[in-house]
Amino acid sequence: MSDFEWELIATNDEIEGKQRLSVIVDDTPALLIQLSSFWYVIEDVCTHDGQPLTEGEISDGEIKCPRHGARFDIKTGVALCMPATQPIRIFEVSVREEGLYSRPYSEKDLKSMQETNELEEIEGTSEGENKETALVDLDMSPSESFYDESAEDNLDERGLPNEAAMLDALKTVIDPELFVNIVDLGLIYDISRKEENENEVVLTMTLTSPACPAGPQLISQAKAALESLPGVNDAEIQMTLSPPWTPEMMTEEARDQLGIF
Amino acid sequence: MQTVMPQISMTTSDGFESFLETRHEPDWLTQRRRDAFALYQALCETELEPEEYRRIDLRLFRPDSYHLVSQQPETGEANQFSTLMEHRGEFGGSVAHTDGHPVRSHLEPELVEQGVIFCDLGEAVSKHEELVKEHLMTRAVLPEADRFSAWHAAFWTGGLFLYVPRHTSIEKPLHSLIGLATAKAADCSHTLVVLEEGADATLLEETASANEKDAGLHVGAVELIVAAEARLRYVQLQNWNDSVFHFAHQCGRVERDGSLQWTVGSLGSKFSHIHQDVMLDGKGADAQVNGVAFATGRQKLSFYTSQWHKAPNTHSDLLYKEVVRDRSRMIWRGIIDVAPAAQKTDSYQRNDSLILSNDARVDAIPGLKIEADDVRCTHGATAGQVDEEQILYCMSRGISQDEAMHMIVNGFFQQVFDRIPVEIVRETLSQSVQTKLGFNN
Repeated sequence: MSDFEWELIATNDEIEGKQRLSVIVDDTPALLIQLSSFWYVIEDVCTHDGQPLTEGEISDGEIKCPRHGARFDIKTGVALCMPATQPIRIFEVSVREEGLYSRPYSEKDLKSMQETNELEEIEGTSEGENKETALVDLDMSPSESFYDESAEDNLDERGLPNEAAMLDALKTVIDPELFVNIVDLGLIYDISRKEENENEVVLTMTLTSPACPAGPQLISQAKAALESLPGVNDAEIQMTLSPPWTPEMMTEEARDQLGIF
Repeated sequence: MQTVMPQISMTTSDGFESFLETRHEPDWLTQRRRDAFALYQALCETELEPEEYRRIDLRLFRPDSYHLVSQQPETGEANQFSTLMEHRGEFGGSVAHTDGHPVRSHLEPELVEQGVIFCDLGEAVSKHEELVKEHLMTRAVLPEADRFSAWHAAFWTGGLFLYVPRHTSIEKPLHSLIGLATAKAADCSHTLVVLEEGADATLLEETASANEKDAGLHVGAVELIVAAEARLRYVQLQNWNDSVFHFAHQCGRVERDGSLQWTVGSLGSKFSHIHQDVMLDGKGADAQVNGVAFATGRQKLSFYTSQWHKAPNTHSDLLYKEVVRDRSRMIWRGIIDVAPAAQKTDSYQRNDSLILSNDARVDAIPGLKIEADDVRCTHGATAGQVDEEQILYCMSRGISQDEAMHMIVNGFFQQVFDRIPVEIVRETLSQSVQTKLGFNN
């Protein structure tokens, strides 16, 4: 039993031929959305910037915030990507003769739904962990690969720049706030060549924080640095926040430079 | 409770015309109202300034569901409000309004002799026409600012006029009470304060609802005009019930070496948006702006503050302290604007918020716009939660959890309380904070 009364939110005429409609439930601006003949109601406020989702693009059961691209699952309200981290409120819908009714979910229903979500999240994390392990296996710890003095010869057997050469190039990219290069900062997680084309590389990197204002600048500079090497025609930059960056990822030298011991 | 009163719509031309019929005002004022209503209708067709209104959700606001109460309520009704300040101190004068109509007004005879005017604005229009005509919405709050100021300029009813002549000091504070008693009623009261050169006064104003549930609307304006070397202390304590929408344009202008100390307390309302401008027009002008806001339940309180430095050697200091709990939301957007002429400006802006629950939200956006090259301007905003360890520490000393929470919240506000020189305001605010926290023993 929900503690809330059902409210008529839209008559049949109002929803005729519509896929979505702005409504008010429980004194909250909400959005009524039709997904494969089922109706859902979500709170019409992005939990990231606190502004409406009304015009957001809908695909695969997700709504995308028109401003910063946060995505939410319409059925569960779960936040699916940055910059949103908190779920949006969802409401129960009932289809009746006069039209659609809605009300907030009861505590109990919400709890059971959240538990389901948590399960999904746990599955999600375990995948993430696998990825993390995979990254570690690539022995890309900057301190190791970078201070390997034997890496003088910077071309591999195919005559293409090797990892050390590429890291050298990336060392020219300096974080404009910390004045330390991105390699010593530990932002580089992985560099690999595409199997289908050895002249194309894929760089996996992170930022010191998800909201790092220098992000776009670092990404474009890293791309340019790699592409400046002979034998690299295209560098694809993949951003990841998993694992999140921590100060422990910096090299000793970078820590000295920043005065962190 | 009372007989049905004629209701006047505030969104239609018919409503506006029938409103004008109830007013018996000089032509210049009627014309200003007509211009403002035309402006309001035009502005409703345009977008609100995004920088100010982007974060403000007006989807729950239905302007046509409110009306003006055209008939004066029975006298004595002002007593139905549980006022926060009125019975705490001794006042030199007081004015009270209910549903936009003056219900009583009083000023000590010796102040009347000194030439002080303190009465409702309607009375001031008939008795001191030139003074009102000169200052009413001509310098501080302008009707064309946005749709809410235009709306207010068209429909203002009741309100307060305080005029203090040159070199006159009023020692005792003055008190004004603005009340809403009828469901769905709109209050469009206007506060106009004019201090002549070297004058000195303190005005405490509070708003209250007669009962806890009735929806209401306030579209108000506050104009504080402080001449050279004058000193004004103004406190507004907004304490509507949690069903009232509150929109206010407030502006203070300070001339050479004048000083304005302005405290805004926001405790009530379902939704409130305050546009507050402080303009330092004369050399050496000084303004201190204090904000105390506490939102609970599903309240949404929003502030848009600007500190305009227009002359050299001006000083301003703004401090807003905000607490949010439950699913409430607080929005503060502040700006310091220094004109090219305002060299040697010293300006500070600070906003601190304390978040007491997971579902509450605070948006704080400080800002600077500086066009002079020899200034000191700083700003900052903080947001944080109550440290569990502090609570644990208090509890280990035998203080209950509620009491500990109250101490911490009070301590958080203390910094701004300390800046308020009027004792009853400090006491009142502290008391209200306790009431809002919900343990009133």
